[in-house]
Amino acid sequence: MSSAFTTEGLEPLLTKYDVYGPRYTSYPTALQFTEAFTVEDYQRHAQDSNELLVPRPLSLYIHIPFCHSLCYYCGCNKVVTHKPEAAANYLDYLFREIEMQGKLFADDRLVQQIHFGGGTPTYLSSAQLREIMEVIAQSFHLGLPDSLELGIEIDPRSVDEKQIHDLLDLGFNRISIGVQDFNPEVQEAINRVQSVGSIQNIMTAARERKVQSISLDVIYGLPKQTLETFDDTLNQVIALKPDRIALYNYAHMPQRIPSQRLIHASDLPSADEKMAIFIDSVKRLTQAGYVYIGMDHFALPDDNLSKALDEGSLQRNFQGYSTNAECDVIGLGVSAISRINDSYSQNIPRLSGYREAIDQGSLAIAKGISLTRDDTIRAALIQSIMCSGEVIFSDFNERHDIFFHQYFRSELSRMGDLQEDGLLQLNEKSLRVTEKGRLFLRNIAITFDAYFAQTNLQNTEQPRYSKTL
Amino acid sequence: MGNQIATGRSPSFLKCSQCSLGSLCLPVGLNSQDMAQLESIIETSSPYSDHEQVHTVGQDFDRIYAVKSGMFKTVIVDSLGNEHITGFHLPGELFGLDAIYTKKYMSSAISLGTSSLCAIEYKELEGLSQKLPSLQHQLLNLMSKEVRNSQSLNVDLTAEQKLAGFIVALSARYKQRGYSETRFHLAMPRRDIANHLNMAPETVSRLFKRFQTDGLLEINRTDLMITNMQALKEMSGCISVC
Repeated sequence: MSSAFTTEGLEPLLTKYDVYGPRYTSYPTALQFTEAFTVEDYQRHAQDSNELLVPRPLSLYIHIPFCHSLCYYCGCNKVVTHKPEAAANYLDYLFREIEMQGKLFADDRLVQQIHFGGGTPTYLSSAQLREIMEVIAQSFHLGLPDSLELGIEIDPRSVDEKQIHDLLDLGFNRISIGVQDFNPEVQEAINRVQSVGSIQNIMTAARERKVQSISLDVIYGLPKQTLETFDDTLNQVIALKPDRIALYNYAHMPQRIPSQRLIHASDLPSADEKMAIFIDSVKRLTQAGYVYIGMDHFALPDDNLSKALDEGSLQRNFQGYSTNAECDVIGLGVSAISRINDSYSQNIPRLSGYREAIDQGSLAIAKGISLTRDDTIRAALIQSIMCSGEVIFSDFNERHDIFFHQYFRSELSRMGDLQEDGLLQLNEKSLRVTEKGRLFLRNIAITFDAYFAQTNLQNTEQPRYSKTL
Repeated sequence: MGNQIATGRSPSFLKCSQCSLGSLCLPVGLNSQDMAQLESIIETSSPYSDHEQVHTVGQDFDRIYAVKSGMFKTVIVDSLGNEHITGFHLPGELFGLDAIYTKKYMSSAISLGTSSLCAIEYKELEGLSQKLPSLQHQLLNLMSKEVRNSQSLNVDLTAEQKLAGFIVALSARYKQRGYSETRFHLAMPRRDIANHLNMAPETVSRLFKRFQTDGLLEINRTDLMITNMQALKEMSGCISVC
């Protein structure tokens, strides 16, 4: 990948393609999940997934919903509390869920990836995290040490140096740290005050212990942000030299996310300023040597994510992008999403409902979807667009037993604008996203989303998706 | 069970003369007059969905079955109650033949994926085959093939040889039926392959993975693509089919 990412002439395109759209961490998206999908459906998919000629390895996502304080921008499923017994009580239920899930999968379904997300996973003590790992090891079969990815999201305000070393002792080899913004005024406006020093210390400790990948999250479009203040933040982020950077877009949707009402709309950067910040960020990060992976993600050229992009082995999952071979994903804890065989499902989002289900000896699935053949075909296509950026029709046809030009006739007829704007190259043999087009992956994917037109029409007043940029 | 066999006989869409499996199944060598007689004793059935039972162990024998589409497995139960899958039956293959002697089905037959059958009352087939030497000849041929298939697994083989042989034999059977010999779908769950070959499911997958790494085949979920048939045949020792 070339490092020179041209950002010239982007403004009109960003304006033209600035629509509400899903991020395609799954297809169909969570909006298509329904309550018709039951625990029995989940169990059937788990059984079927054991019966493939070579069953897939497993990836576990563990949701820890607790936070010590409220970050105003955050739309995640979380509970702000200081009661120590809240977490201990939750773990009792989580352990029972892990044990139930473990029984569903065959002995050779090795776990290759465990990711702790939240909320704030580091809300838990080291001893509590160790206990979770023990219960996982008792209920599942862990992959070999050289292929086991252990990741955790770290809130730099909630860990001291000892806890960082405890995490590394436990074997965590991938960490992501929520920076968001280094500017004090912005930090105050989002109620998340933290220092560069605390992050530097965590990164130094992690590097000494040969952590494979350190990722920093930053958010643009936050209150009190300007092009200048965010440039400062980027300077500090680049100086820290993380392996990966996630550059998220703040979507102000106070009607859907109540805590965002604590953010004054008048403090938000204007649409023009926000776009300028985005373009500047892409320019700065790629000039600093980061490879643009796609959507929100940047990585150093020697990071596995960049290598996977080069080799065409990149995968998209609920955490964004991943280098892992296709896994079945088991979501554990409140609101966690699973992808098993040909299904997606989501756990009950509220603690009370989650506990009730587990108390009845049942898994805590709230809703989900069994993919139809059409869903599977479109999911594979959207995955290719988001990851490798290329679809060779003959290969795709052979794999899915379709005739691409016939199957997607109406979609292909709607690619004119994307082609003319230089975002997409389309010929008889293949579809290829251009370098510039990688900034518009959502817009390209939307064309192939069979559900998008319907859901978006119904929700013109209260958009269900964030804007694409 | 038997309730799927309709009372009406031989609607036009089932005619052997129009069936693509005519060159493999019972009608081999029959002229059109003889064929019409055979057609008159064939019963139609509505399709079976996945994992439906056609007949069960110990049930009184009355019919033999010819697979029309999809796949059926036959399962015997030993004295300890363990199930053993004796075979997977492809279109144009018969099952139920092992019950002729005992007058009771020795196995249960179960569909794998959506599949369909032709059923033939054995007494009628027996009567007809006495009148039509070509039919009798083909019936014996098909029985002999069954005997041969059941013997080929009794040889002492390594797990690797057994699985390679299983794939090579399936490939040959698909080829006979006019399907691709290098690309086919395995409708049976891996535990059924494991059971049939008498190995652990984990072993089946480990071997498939090794075959894939060694460039012998490629796997996509339950679809198989053979990329080095020669090597697979050599590995199998060419015992069942070559």
